[in-house]
Amino acid sequence: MNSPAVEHTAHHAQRPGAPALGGMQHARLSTGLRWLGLSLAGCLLLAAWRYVQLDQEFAVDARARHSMLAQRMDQHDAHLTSLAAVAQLDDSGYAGFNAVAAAVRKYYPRIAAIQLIGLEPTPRVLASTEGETDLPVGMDAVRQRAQLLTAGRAAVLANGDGKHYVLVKRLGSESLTALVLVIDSARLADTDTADGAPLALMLSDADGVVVGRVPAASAAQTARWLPTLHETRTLTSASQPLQLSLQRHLSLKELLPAPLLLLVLLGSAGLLWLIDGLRRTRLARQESALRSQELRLAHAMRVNGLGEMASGIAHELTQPMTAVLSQSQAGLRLIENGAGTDALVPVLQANIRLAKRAGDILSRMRSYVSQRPPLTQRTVLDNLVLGAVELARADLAERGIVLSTELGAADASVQVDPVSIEQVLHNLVRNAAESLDAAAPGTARITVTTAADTEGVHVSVRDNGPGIEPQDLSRLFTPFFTTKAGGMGLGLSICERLVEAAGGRIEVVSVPGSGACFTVHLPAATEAAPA
Amino acid sequence: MKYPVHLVEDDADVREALALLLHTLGYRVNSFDSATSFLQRVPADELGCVVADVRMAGMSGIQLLEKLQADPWPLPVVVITGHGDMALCRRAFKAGAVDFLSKPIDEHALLEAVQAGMARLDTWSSAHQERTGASQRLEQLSARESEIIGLIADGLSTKEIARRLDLSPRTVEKHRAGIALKVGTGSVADLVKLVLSAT
Repeated sequence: MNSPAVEHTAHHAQRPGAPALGGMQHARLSTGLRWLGLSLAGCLLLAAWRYVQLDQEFAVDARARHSMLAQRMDQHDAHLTSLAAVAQLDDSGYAGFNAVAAAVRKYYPRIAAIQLIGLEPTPRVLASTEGETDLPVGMDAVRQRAQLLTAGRAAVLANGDGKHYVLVKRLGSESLTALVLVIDSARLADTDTADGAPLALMLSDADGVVVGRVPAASAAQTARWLPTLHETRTLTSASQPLQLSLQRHLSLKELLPAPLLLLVLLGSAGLLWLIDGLRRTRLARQESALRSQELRLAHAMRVNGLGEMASGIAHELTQPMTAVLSQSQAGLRLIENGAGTDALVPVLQANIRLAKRAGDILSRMRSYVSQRPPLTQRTVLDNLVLGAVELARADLAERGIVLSTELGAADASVQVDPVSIEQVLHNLVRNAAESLDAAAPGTARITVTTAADTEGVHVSVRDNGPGIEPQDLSRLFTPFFTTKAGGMGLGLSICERLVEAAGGRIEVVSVPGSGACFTVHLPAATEAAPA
Repeated sequence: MKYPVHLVEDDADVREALALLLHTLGYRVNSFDSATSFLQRVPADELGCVVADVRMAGMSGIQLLEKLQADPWPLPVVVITGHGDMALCRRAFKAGAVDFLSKPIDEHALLEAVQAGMARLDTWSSAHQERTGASQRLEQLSARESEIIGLIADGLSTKEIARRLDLSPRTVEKHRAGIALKVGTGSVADLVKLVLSAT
């Protein structure tokens, strides 16, 4: 052997519906990933929808909070006006003022303190609900602010700590007196009802000084990466023209409520199952369409090959016909010679047997060319091979090719569709014969070998033709690949499909210049299978 | 019938049917399932008309025919085939086949072919006997007499023979008389015929 054997990779049967273990794990993994992806997309959609919903809620809340605050600030103005009136009419003991102020404080706890302060010549508290308590802002600040105000006007003073702010109102013009309300910011912002979302609130004056800061009521766990809702509104109070900033931190629980999250996860799993189901159905439909196409094609190839088998069929039929004719003529002669009916019995028996033999050949032909679904049955391999090879013998003899068989599978059986395997063998033998067209007369040889071992049964078709080009080997079983002029390139691909359908595989070894050897490996029928 | 038919056919059904038919036609039939088993027949020198199928496992009928033709006295062979074409037919006749019959075989055609084969056997057989008789008569002659009868058959006269063999004409005449006594004829024509039939 001067050139190395180029061995074609074995074609393992990969039947549909029976993916390998690795493929199954891969499929499971990919299903998991797809579920994860779909769930993630669902969560994003859910979060976006919840965000829009929460934003609308927040806007409503903000408007309500704004109008509540505006109303309360208007109340402050009203208190200031009434307290100023009482203070101006009161006596030097301010008994009336104190009584009114105490009443106001009682009903409006957000007003932390009410003081009447005389600012000239030095600031001193004239009357106070809380005695001499310190104001959040210094007396001088109150004085300076009051001096800037016209009589009867009020303004806000704050120290910036956000807890309290001071509302200063200048009274009368003859002696500089200020009426001061200390407002508790937290209580100002307090809603009476416990409903509503937790809002953080900030009040600031025109200069940006924070006059009130109230953190969100419930410290719900918020993450920095989650979106925050903002809204800034202006309070149109004359005395307290403040900016109201509302802020709402969204929590994960709000964006992805547990029941809805569960629904999304289950829904995406369901959707995935539905999609996979549809895809499976479609694949199954395609598979069945493909299979029926292959069946039709295999049938067409058999019908096509029938012409080449015609001489083989003719010879097969000639034998019993010859015997029938000779038996019958011999029978007539026996009668002419005066033989008794006893002598004719074996003649008639032989004729019956021969007619059946011819009938068997015909029915085999019919089943070979009939269009029918594959029918698997337990078959003795050597008989199957012999039957297929005998049909090819006449054609090969005409081509001057010596066909030899080495049947070594003994009684090994296979569970196959005999017609399919016959077709495969016929195809392989025909290919081998065509490769020998250019061989020198008397040298062309095809050897069909069978063997059985623990791995199954094997049928080889070997020729001593030119072999197969190494670059063609890998494409040999590809549909529409052909090296023959006028070939369709379907023979071997059909063969491969037929062998795979029988649970086997087909492989080829070719040594360029010394011929090719195609081997069909089939699983042996189990002993327990019914005969 | 003097000679049997040797039927060589590997299909049991066809062999059985043809054997029966030949039997009803009045022949003795020896059946063989292959050319090899025919060539190994016992007794090996039994004459007979061979009827052989072309397509058989191992040696084909045509190969058998060609092998038999190598014999000095070849047996007549009728070739039968299920798939006869012109090339095969020509090859068979070239190799000396008595007849070439296509299956299914009509009994008349078979009978004629076998009869022709038998006739050929008869002819060859009588020629064989004649030859063996002539050989026996010539074997009685001495070496010198054999030499002289050969020259007589070549058309030489007594004088020419004497000159060729460096003998006197009288001695040659004496030998010729001895030859005539031993083979039973002295005529030149008979002697020539005898020599020719023995070779």
